[in-house]
Amino acid sequence: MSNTTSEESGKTGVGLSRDLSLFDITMIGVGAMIGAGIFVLTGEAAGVAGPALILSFALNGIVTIFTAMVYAELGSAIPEAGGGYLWIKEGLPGSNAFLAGWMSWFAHAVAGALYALGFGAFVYELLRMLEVPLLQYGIDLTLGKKIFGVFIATTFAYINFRGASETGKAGNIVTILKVIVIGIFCFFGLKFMFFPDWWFSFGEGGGMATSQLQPFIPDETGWLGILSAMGLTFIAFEGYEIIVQAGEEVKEPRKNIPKAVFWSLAIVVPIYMLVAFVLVGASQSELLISALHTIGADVPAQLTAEVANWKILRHVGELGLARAAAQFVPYGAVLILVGGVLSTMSALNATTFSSTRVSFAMGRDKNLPDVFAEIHPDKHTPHLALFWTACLIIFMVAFVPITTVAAAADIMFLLLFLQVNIAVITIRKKYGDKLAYGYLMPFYPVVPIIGIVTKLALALFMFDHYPIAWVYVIAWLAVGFGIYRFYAMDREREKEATPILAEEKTMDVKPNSVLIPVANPETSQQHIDLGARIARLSDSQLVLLHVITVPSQLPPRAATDFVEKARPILDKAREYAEQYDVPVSTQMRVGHKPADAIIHTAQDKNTEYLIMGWKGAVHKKETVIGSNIDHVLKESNTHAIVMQQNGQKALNRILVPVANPETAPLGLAVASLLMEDNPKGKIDLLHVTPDEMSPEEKGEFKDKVFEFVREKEGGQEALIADKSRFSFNFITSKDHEKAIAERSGDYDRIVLGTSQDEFFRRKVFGKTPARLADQARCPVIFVRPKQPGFKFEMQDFFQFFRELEEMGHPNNENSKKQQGN
Amino acid sequence: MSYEDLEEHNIFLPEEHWDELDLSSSVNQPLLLFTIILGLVSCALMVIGGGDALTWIGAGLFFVFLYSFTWVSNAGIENQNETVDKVMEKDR
Repeated sequence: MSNTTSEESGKTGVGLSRDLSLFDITMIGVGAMIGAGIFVLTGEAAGVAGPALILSFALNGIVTIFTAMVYAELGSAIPEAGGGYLWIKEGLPGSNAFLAGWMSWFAHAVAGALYALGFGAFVYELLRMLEVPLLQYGIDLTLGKKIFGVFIATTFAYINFRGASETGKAGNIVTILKVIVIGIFCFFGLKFMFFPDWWFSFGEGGGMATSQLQPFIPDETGWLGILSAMGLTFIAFEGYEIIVQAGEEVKEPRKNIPKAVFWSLAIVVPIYMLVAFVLVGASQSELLISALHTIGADVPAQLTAEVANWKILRHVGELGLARAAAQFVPYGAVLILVGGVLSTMSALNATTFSSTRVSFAMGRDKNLPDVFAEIHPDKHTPHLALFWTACLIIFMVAFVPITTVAAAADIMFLLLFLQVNIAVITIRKKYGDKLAYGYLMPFYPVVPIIGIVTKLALALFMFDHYPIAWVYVIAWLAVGFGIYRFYAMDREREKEATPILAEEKTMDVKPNSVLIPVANPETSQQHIDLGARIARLSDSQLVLLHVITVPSQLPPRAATDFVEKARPILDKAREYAEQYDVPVSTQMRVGHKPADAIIHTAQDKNTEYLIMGWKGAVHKKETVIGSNIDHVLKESNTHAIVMQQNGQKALNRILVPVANPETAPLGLAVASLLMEDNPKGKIDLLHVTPDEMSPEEKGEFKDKVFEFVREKEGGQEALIADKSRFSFNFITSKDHEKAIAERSGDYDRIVLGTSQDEFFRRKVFGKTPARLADQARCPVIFVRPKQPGFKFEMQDFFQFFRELEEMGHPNNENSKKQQGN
Repeated sequence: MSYEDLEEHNIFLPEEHWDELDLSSSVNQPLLLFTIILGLVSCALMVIGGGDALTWIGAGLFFVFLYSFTWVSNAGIENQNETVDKVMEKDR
């Protein structure tokens, strides 16, 4: 894919070119996995687990395979730049995706900075061995690491700028060279252990076979050591995240991405196990100690030649592999240092690539500024996302105490993978029947569930061992959440907003609005009557919205033909509303679903009150009032009033059942405003209890209702002109629904509020009012008060999972309806 | 990316093919389960062996597990893609 103009949308699309073959993409994964980890972490991990490091790597391989299957499935079905971030955006609600992208971008950049510094250390050591007088120029190891680190980070930023193909080629060469170096290390190590005199003899004390690997699980380390080593090295196996980040640039992605995920693991896990085998099996304590003395390290007194070699390896640190190689490989130290240089280069290449793609995807989704989504016209690479990512990496290399945030990056990866494991389940449920999967994992959903459990366990295990890392994670997430709430969320909404075809604004713009969707000016008159009265008393403007719905097969611009036909509808409604002497503005929007247009207008116009019409009872399992109204209510946190359409205008008696004083004020306000023209009209509050209430209890109930009218719900007292017209009725009945329904026959309207029985359904009134509406013997008005923001969002979160549960299998009818098809 | 974005990026199958693809895996599940069991058994052998021959037999079996797992999965990928291609070819 290259830059394309989308005929349908009429917008210039942004895409990347598909250059990477199965081999290229596998090498990207292998390059990422055999990164600095094998050279830097293996020594330390051996010190934690002893010979059982081999088992730690094997177990990590098994743990990784479960998430690899998830990545293979999603990568084959949604091969777009962004990978895990993108799937979480599709599969999980609210801010999950932003935070996933935010974590992924940062974690990859931290990893990139680590690799750049590792490169610096290896180059410095190489130059020192070649007797280059760096110290004479005042360049010690710390400064040298930074200088060489910044150099290589800049170089790979340029290589990435040249394009995915260039990146892939450079990466392939480096990865192959690196595998060759490790192959030489393993070959000579095995020869030294088993056949020291075969071919030629190098090093002293060989022929130990596997004696140094016994006991396999030392008593000092035990299973805790194995688990610690798993936690320490787990992240090295997650190269498939980088494979899928490149999804948009892969040839035949449906086939090649899942294959690359599995091949990269099949190549890398045995390499890690072999390196561990040779490192612990062949290196000798005495020589390791003398190497420590050579580099001037502090050697604890208890480290003697009799101590097991793996205990000493921990102290040798990132140069452990090089020191071991010096014992049994000709030119071993230089070879491993060269290998380290190559490894850190390819790992840096992969992480720069991956980090850039995440920020590019976030920019395209409006979660980051638009510059992140720009594609270079010649190179077809996201050059500005790359520029800012490179700046982030270089900044960390130069100025940040990087090792302190590295563990935090590990935890962020684990949390990201955990989210992806959840997303694979929700994506199958939401879109399963519409996607062309190139791979479907077996044993679904056991595989992602195992993935979730293992990632969670490792993340918690990290908390036990690296509590400070969790502090960094929480701090970074808090910053991200702030950016999302105050920047990204609005931009995201703006991007998804339905287009406005025509708009007439009032001169007297008010900060808040009363929104009325108008389909038919005749049936909307009652809504306008009520809305205008609310607008007048709450100092708001009245917004009349007409939505032109176009089928999903047609682009939104197809609706322009309907504008002239629709204009009289809005003109007529505006004319009617203007009699109330309140500011009135009109808007005409186009969308595939009317609900979306209403939601977007409510967001744009800061709507406090939303008044909608309802044709009557809907008997569908999956809806409460109706799919459109349900959707609007779930997405818009406003005072919502839904009026059943009815020709009768004159109102003499309104019944307001009140189960809970807290939800009464809005219903009373609506009843009061509807009765404004009729001073003799009656408004009866009805409270049904299973047991008789005492006069004191009744008095208390009344007081509470008025207390809420005064103090709660954002000043609805202003909407109630005369409280003396309310009369309270208390009745005793075991079946309150039946009692209310029977009473409703004597009234012109019944006003129903949200029910208390189903917390997560309260956004859409609840099933009890819906059942009451069915049984009522007069037209119904539903009211739902606006809720505190946090509560609304929490309900949103739980509602998401509830809906998924209801949707069931994606092939069923219910699923299709949920998608609006 | 929204539902509309996925549509715009041609991620979805053409609407006439919705529901045509089965969501069951094309991977040979009994064989894959066998390989996973082999992987777990190999790890158990590594532990039981205590650094003796059984440990290294376990390590060797683990390599067998990895490659057989990859082979079975790749065969599943081929089967799955053939199925998808057949559905898409109906349009040509």
